[in-house]
Amino acid sequence: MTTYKNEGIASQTIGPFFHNGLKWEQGNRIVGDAGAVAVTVYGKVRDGAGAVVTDAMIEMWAADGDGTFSETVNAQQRPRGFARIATDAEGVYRVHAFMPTHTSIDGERFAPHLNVVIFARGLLTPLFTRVYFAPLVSTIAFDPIIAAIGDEARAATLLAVKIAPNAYQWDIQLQGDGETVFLTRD
Amino acid sequence: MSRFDPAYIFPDYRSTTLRGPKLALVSAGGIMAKLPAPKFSAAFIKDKDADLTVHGRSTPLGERMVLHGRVTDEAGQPVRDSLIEIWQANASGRYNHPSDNHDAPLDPNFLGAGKTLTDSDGNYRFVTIRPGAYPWKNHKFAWRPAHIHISLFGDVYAQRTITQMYFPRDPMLAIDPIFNGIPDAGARERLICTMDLEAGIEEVMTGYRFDIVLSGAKSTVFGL
Ligand SMILES: [Fe+3]
Repeated sequence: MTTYKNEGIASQTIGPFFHNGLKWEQGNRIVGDAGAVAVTVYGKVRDGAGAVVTDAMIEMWAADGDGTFSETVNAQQRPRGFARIATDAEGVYRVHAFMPTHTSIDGERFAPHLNVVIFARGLLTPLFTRVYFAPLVSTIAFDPIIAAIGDEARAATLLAVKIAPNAYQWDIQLQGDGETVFLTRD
Repeated sequence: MSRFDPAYIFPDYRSTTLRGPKLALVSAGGIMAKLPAPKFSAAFIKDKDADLTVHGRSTPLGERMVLHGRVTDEAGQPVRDSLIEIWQANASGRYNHPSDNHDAPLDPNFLGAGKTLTDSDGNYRFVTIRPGAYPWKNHKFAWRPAHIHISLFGDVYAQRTITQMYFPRDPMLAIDPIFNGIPDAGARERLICTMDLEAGIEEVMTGYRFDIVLSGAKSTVFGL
């Protein structure tokens, strides 16, 4: 008899042909509590040569106004705080979300953010990261992830730039100059 | 990344060279395992979502097969009521996708996408066809071994995984840089399903079993 060792499965690339398999109706919408302030987050994904990445898939997971992750489902029967969107022919993604609030997890307090995972052809392993909505790194220096990054210029890669009262731009640089900070998945 | 995941830059797979980050990942300090994974309502799964062979006017071409297995965490606990999505090429190795230029026939009876939830013991079951191999431009005479793409969520956010399942004794595995991007031989082996004919339907379809262990749950952060 062989001993079953419960060893984990390895990641593989999403490849270029995921769109039909993973497309969700209104997948780019994150719904918050009644009264939550609507914001649009959009941006471009670029590779190490500056070329736009037209076949990435981005997922965002937002905590509710009370800081917990709601099990409430939306009209499509999906968790209302969870979005999935593919980049378009210009490498652009666009998510209709709401302004998140501070969250506390096991006594650690985090600045308002959305959790992000990026998949793409050429990524054998997904990239975990976050997008914050602060004007300056110094205003969210207390945040444990921002503190772990240490370097202010690097931490600034996780800040969405306010373009209009309800519109934020957050570009993702997979590699090279201005490389976005990516996080371990533990 | 989990300890079995491929490195971000694996030059044999050319697209990784400009897309994989070069700077070290910043430690998330264990937070990912404390966030729940998104949970999907049973109503998210429609009637025929787990059967990829019933979306045309007749049965798709190819070897019809049952794909089933169990999803657990590293402690052996079932991952219950969790979304699994799959997508794949048809029996000729062609995706129903506008940017697939492989000169192989589309099958009007095969769309190549399915989804289901695991049951209360972590089990899942799809009906599909065995996909064909297809060429790609990574290197000369490059062919992908037959595979089914699988997306899983798990119980906690750290377990979010997309992978590919392969078939036993496929000679194309040896030359595939995506499969071989996984450094550990045992971890590569775990992406190959096993034939399980009795899970199929006698005289109708074959059966394959693919069990999936998701890394990253809180209970196992401190090792096995
Ligand atoms: Fe594929």
